[in-house]
Amino acid sequence: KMEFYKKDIWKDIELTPSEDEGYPNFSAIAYPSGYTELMGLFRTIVITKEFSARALELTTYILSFAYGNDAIWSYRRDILANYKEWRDDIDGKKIIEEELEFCRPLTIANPKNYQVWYHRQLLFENLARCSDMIYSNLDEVLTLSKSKVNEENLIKLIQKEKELLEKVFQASDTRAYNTWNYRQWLCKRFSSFDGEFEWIKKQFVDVEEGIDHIQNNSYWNHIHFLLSFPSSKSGIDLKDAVDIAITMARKRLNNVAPWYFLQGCLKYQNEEITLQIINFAKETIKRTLINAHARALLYKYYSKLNTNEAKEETIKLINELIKFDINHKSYWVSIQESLKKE
Amino acid sequence: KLDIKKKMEKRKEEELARYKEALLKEGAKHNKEDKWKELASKLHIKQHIRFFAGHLLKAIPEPYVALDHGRINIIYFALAGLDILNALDMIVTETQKEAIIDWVYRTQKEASGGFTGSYSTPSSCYLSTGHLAYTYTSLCVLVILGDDLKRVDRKAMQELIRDCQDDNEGNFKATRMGSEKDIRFSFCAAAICTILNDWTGFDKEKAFQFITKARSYDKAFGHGPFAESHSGSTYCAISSLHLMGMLDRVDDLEETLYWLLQRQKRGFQGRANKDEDTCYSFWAGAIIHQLGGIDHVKKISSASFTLSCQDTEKGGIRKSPQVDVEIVHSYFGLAGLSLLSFGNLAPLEPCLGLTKRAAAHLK
Repeated sequence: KMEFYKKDIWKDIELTPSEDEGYPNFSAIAYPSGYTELMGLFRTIVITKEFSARALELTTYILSFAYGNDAIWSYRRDILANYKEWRDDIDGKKIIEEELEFCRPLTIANPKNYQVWYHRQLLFENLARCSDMIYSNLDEVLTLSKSKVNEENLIKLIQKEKELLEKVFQASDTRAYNTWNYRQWLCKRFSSFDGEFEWIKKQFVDVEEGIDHIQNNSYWNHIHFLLSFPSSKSGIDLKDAVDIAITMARKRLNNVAPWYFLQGCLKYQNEEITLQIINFAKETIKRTLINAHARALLYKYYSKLNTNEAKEETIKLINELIKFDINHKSYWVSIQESLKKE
Repeated sequence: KLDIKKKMEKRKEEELARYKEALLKEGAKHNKEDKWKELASKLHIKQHIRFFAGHLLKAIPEPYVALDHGRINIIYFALAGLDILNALDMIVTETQKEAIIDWVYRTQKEASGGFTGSYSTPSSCYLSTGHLAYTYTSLCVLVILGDDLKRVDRKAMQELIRDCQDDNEGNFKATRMGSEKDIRFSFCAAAICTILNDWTGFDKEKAFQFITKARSYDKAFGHGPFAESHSGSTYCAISSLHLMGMLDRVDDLEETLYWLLQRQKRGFQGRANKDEDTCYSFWAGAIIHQLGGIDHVKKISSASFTLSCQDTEKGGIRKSPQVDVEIVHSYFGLAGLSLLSFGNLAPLEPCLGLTKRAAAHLK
């Protein structure tokens, strides 16, 4: 990094200082060695909109200081989009594949960064449209009609992306937020649901240590995501999901994650499923002493119904929650008070 | 069958024991007032003032180079932190205030709208663009310093907001050049419009549709449709709706409140079953406050967790006891304490990220 700006390839370029030089400075960062020089080069060549191999390499070095610098990412994409200006040995598709490959390690190392994922999404979108040109702006890409897409190849590429996501999980953790959102985008955008249900089951349902993963709320959220698509696509239907949720919840009755999911499934207003969930909650109350999650779920269910029986149940449940959901006693008291007012 | 019965009985015994223990803890309430007052003395105010002042007026450590392109954020956190500590006038002279205001305005994109957030990109190049997040923090800095906002190019600002909002989905990208379009930028846009009292470029109905779609099955919010519910996204969602004046169109807010309250262990989590992190004392706490539930928070627990994350020598607050202090968690940790009416910290306007003192300028 420190030596890059000293290379001969840069001898024609004068460094441009930043425009706050000479003014009182605030929150002045003690820049690491080499950073100011690299930025100085950038500020000079970006004025002339230079798209070149040395510009690309420059962005690589600058980004390694700050993967959140969205202007540098934009500049990098423009350099790639104008590849014809500085490479004659390659086509648009190959350039994108090279870039996706190049960005793999830094994505694995920086999964909390937003820009690395947006960059991948944009590149992949370009790739899927199999155009010989590439576009640096997602809005532009999206207005293109899809040209001849090799389905088989696209499926392979998507699979490769999903494998990258697994590597990210292994390297950091299975809650990595942007990673999950990127996976969802892949599934939704390319209708890539084949094997997705099997995959999620492998993570925590069909495994020995599945019990440790019951608390992984991201898995439950992913199941809900799959449920939001027709089961002919996603391979999962409401019955499968609820069966899994009840089976897993039985192993960890005190953990909130499967209960959030079960409570969420009430929204589908499927009579049979709702009954199954309600009965499970009631069974839990019998089998345990003070389970708050089961009661909160039943409260949610009964408080939405208008029958006298439901109203009685609601009152009874609130009383129990006040007694047993000790951490949130005052909350349930306030619910009780607002109910009395009604 | 006998085995299962034994297991169930054992489980019930354990539950009963835990229940009794929890009751005892609750019963120790008569000590609460004293304990709360005692805690107030444990905030190392002088050190924190020095910490924020240093991050504004002195050279800050190398690792912050990662934030160089959005340096306005560091200025914001430093000033906002000093404001919460009632130490603005103590630390920042009138001359310095004017110089900071000038620093901010020189990052404004006149004609194209918004603020760039730093000087790392030359203003005449095609990449130099207003950014919704840095515009939000720029405006906050101006308001904190009492600027009258007259130099803001309002027309260009609304053009920027209009161009950043997606016509179909209602969500926002951060700049005209393009970026991810998640709920954070819905909040930034709404806050900008609130501060300038101008919504002409902001399609409220479309924005509302997007935010609604970002609501998860547990009634909290994620970054976008189907995303996992998250305290930060929930802050952005509810704050936006409040600022847009559309919170009354949302049902089941008591359930959202309960979800947020469930995020408290000692400190707050960002998501279900994740670790506590001091910044969520603000993201979750602010919306708990907004929804009228701040008295349901275990204040002593939350404050104790934040206080345990202080660096009592250098000042500043950590994300969690195991890592180093930095300015982001220092600000949000303090902001989270302020929401609990801790000590003499300045009260906040929770959905704007400003103290009430600063926000009063907007009237």
